[in-house]
Amino acid sequence: MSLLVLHDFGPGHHGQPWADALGAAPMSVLAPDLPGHGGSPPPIGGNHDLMDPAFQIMRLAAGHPDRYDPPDGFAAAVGVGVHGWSAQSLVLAGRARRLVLVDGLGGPFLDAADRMQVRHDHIRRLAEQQPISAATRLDIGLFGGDDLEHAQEAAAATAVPTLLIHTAESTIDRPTFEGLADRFADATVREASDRTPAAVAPIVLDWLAG
Amino acid sequence: MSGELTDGPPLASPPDRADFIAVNDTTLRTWEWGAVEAPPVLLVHGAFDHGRMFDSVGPFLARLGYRAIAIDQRGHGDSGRLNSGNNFAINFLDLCCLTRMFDKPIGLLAHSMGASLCFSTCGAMPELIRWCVSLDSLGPPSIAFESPPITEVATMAFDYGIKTFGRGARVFPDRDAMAAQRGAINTRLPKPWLDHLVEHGSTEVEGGWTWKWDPAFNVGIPNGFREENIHAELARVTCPVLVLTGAEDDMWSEMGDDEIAFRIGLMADARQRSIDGGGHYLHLEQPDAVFAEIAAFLAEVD
Repeated sequence: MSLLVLHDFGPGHHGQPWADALGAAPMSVLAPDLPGHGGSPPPIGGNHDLMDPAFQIMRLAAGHPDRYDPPDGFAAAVGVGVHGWSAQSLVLAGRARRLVLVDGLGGPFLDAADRMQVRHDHIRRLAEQQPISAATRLDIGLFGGDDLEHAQEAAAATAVPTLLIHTAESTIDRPTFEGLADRFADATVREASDRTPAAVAPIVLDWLAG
Repeated sequence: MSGELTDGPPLASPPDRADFIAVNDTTLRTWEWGAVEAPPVLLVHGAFDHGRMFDSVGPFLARLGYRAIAIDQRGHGDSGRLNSGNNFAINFLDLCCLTRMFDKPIGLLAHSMGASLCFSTCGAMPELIRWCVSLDSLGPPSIAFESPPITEVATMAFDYGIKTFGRGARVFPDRDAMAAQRGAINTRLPKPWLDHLVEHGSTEVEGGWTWKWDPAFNVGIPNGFREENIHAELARVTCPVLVLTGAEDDMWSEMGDDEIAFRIGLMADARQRSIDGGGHYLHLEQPDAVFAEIAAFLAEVD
């Protein structure tokens, strides 16, 4: 069984630092470069989406089911930042036995009117810069993961042991984080200084060994 | 239906011009009717359809003095493919980019999911939209938001996605089989239009025929899509809007009069008309009544 890592979104992020930092894990580590990151080409059609990692895993699984869709699932799925939702989706789909979310619970959470305002502003910003480079798309980032009710529903449906790591880079405050953590069936909460592999990997390795 | 059509659907004319345009890092197929210097109207189809569904609406708008431009949405028809499944936000961004490609504000006319995209575009780019006509869409009805448990939806998405990316699009032995499949879903579609949609929405491959729509479009992971988002989107629409709904029992007719009135009321300047004898594809079922309503609306607001 293997440990799957979905690295964070944005410039400079890719899989190898996670594979290196988690090299002492008691299972193999799969840390693919996600679309538009590291050595991977941009997503088809250029546009990034919150669910790109999940679809990347589906494509990899179609070609290499033994590695990316193993019969017993991944030993654990790790999701960093906005890519936490893809990791959690794998767990909800029964394809991983444990879950690690590093600032991966979503947020900032908004009410519907503010959500639409933020989404429209984001879309408008992208539309007004066309044509837009791949690097700028990474800089501008993603929207989504902004619905607290959805995050609560997903948390309550997550039945596997879960490690929730909260860092100073989190987009949600501590009370909101704790409120979501309480909804998981079996959550362990830890703090880290930041989301880097160096800061996070020792916590993950310790939890996996426990 | 295995060969070419001998009789086209009523009131339909092939496009005056066909082209591809580069938009938002993809390529979109366009179909046009009317003079290029005339006021532009963008025609946006719904899920699993394509721009040639407007082969009667386009010529009608051209006769009214407009330049009608129908697109094949990303992931549909001859346009570019999808990365991450049924992704509303990227098609929404494509539309916003398109609105900026004209030298004047444009009209929008759209069907089903295309109309939902257009409402979003009205909210995001209000200064670039003159008016909007929706053919049987105010967003999905309330009942559509009663989804199965999130674990079930996620499991189905991964199962279907892995299978689809592994095998590619389903291959049908001939277009008759495709028409039979489509006709069983859209039971009210007039046969000439059913054949027309199949003819222009399919492509020949080794061993038979496939739909042109990207099979990835059929894969959706739960993402918090909820009714309050629809309401918030509609509340941002300020341009004149005409919503035509089918009076007959069909897809999405679970939306009752009270729900229709509520959603219409969220928009600043919207009106709704019900088309007798029309279902979800009311513009193909009752073109005369639909065209009369559109003409009256445009005479009022444009």
